[in-house]
Amino acid sequence: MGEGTKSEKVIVFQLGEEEYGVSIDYVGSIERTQPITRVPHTPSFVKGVMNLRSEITPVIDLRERFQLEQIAYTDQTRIIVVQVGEKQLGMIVDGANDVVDVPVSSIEPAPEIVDTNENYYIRGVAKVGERLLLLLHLDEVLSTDELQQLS
Amino acid sequence: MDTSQYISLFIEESNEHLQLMNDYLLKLEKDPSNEQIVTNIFRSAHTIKGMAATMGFVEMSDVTHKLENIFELIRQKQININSSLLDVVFQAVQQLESVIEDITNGGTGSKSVDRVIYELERIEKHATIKSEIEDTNEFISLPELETIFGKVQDPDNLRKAEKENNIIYYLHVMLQRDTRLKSARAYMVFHALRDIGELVEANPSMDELEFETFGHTLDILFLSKVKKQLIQQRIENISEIADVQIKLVSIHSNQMEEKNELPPDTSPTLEKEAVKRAITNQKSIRVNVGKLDQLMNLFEQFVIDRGRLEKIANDLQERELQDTVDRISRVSSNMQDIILNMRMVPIEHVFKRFPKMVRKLTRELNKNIQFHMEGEETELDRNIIEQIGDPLVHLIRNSIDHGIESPGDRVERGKPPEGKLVLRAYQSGNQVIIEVEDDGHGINKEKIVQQALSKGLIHEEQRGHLSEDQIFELVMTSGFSTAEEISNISGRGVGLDVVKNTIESIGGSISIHSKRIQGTRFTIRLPLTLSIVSVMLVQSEQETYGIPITSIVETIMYKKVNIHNIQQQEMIFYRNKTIPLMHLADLFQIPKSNQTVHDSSSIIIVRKGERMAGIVVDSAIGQQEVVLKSLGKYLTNIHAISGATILGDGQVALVIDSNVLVK
Repeated sequence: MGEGTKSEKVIVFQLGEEEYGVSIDYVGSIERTQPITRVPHTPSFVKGVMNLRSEITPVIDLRERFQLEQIAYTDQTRIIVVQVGEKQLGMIVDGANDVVDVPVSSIEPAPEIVDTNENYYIRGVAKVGERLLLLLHLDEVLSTDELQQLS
Repeated sequence: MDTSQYISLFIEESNEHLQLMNDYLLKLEKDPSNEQIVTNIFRSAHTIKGMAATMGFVEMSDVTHKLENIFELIRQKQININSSLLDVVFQAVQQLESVIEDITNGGTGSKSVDRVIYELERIEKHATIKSEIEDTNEFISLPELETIFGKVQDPDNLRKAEKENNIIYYLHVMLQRDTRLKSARAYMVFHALRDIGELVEANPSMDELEFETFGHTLDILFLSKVKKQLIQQRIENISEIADVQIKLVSIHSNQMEEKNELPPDTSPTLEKEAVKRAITNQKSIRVNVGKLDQLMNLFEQFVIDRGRLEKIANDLQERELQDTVDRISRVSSNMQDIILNMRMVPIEHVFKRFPKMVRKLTRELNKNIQFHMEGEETELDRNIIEQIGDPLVHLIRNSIDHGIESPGDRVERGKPPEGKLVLRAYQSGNQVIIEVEDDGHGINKEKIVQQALSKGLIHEEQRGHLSEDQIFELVMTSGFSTAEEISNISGRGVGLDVVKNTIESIGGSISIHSKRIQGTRFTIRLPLTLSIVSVMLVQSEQETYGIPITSIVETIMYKKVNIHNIQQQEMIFYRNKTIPLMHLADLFQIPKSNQTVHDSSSIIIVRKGERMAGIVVDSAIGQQEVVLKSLGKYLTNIHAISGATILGDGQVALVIDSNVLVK
């Protein structure tokens, strides 16, 4: 990275084979899995609410949100707590253990992939060394459209 | 109005403004030309005046009124700031402080303020008059008068006259040298003056006039409320008057001497000091709302931990630990009362905007409505207060718009032309009830049913079975009425679904009572506070939920009741009523676990207004005070869930909004 090159710090997490990134600005903490209370009348990707240091925090399963195949939670499973605007929630991911600097210049728009639902959650793709990171469009992930449709 | 509730607020605010005035006055002394400071002092005086008048402290409002006048004159540059003026103003502020002290001590605030009012009035009056007089000899002192009249009026009498808003004038009238009927002219002068004031002294006297044994001058001591120019005009209109000189009489030339005669100074005596100091400690302070919220948040966490401690103590069965936890619980529930109380605000804050609104609306609609408010002092949690305003606006508007008829229609129906609208608040148990009641034409039930039928909200076969409550409930169903249809049906229904939703979102409920021709009453029931609620913890399968105690009527064993099936709906017979039964597991799609064997279940009877329903759960665990928290901005409007709470073991339990479940 040369002088004057802008970059952003990104938390890297896994969902299946892919590596995703979410800007560290939005991330409050990364938690191990913990008991989650189911909330009725919500979409299935909403796992429920958890007690995050005395604060009620909704939790969604990101695999389910992205309509990926479901797997059992493991030791590696993490909950990334993010805050966008007034919305706070936890996202269950397969694992999260890395922070990288992504030069802004290396971010490319998400490729147009036909037949996939995940595309609009992706802000762009960043190439960091040999790794390809799918950067999340958090506003879309947290969009409550699906929730509104139910109520 | 009973003002005792607002005394402490009044004292706080007055002290604040008096402190401000003191600070500004000190600044003004250094920078007399600063208009901003003058304006600030004026505003503070004005604010105190208003508050004092509202609270009925006449003396305070008098003093501040005078202060206001003086600073207005300073603003208009009719009066100059000098140290003697500031002395008087400082004195006035000091006097106000001692009045406030008196009120703080439980006094009536009616301390004598005569002296300071007197001083303020003098400044004001002289300033007013000074502005009209150009020459510098406008004042004449008492000793000078004495040489003119030989004897002089009792200064106290003059002062008294002055206090009655009179100005003491000294008139020197010169007649033309060749005046023939000097007495007649003199009489005409006296006569002209009598109409506009009171003659106190004249030289020559009446007797001397009769015999025309005087020269060409008249000296008159005159009390009047009119301006100098007017007097001048009146006299100059009389023919054969050569000249008129009018001067103001200064009876304050020697302040030192006057002090003994003035109303006694009312500064506190030494023995009062001790009492005063004791009271000072009880004085209230105003707290930033943010800090109060922080305290509340911390206390919420404490309540959660208290629950956890209680659970641990119970599990361990350790005597000493249990005793300690019991004590902590007791103390903290007292603390809870105090903290909750601090967040309570009189509903007056919401109500006070309505009289103006009602007046405006009635004018616009050409109606004649008498508006009453009751129970403005009823207190509610600040969070609830903030949200109740809009629904009330809706309901009041609705009553004026569609409820109360025009005067003509009313008379035709044999009612008084003037309609009545009452807004009422009162506390009932741990609920606050707010009612909006009018004596308008009521709701036409038949039209509602027809409207609901045409909208597909009810089926034809339901028509005959609907109870009155159910019909009124229809009015508040979303989609019942839209703006276009208002004019051709009863009119009730504009946004009432919104009102209902808002009220339910803050844990309340609303019901309607209406009689044709006689009127309509909306009744809103609200919880006193939202933050800490008593719930019955219930279990269904592996899940735990809380049901607010306020809506629970009773818990009964499932086996003891007969269950009937009416139109695929389970019903039980309870207290001479058939009420619907629902299973929590079905309602919330609770996953079935295999391990639980249900040998017994409980039915929690919940109530909303007059209606009831039974909720079947596996077991009722017990009552607990919990902190009600929202599910956050991500999960909003979850059906039948009003929030969540953290239990003693750290688990999150959802709190059921049973109002939604009772249909």
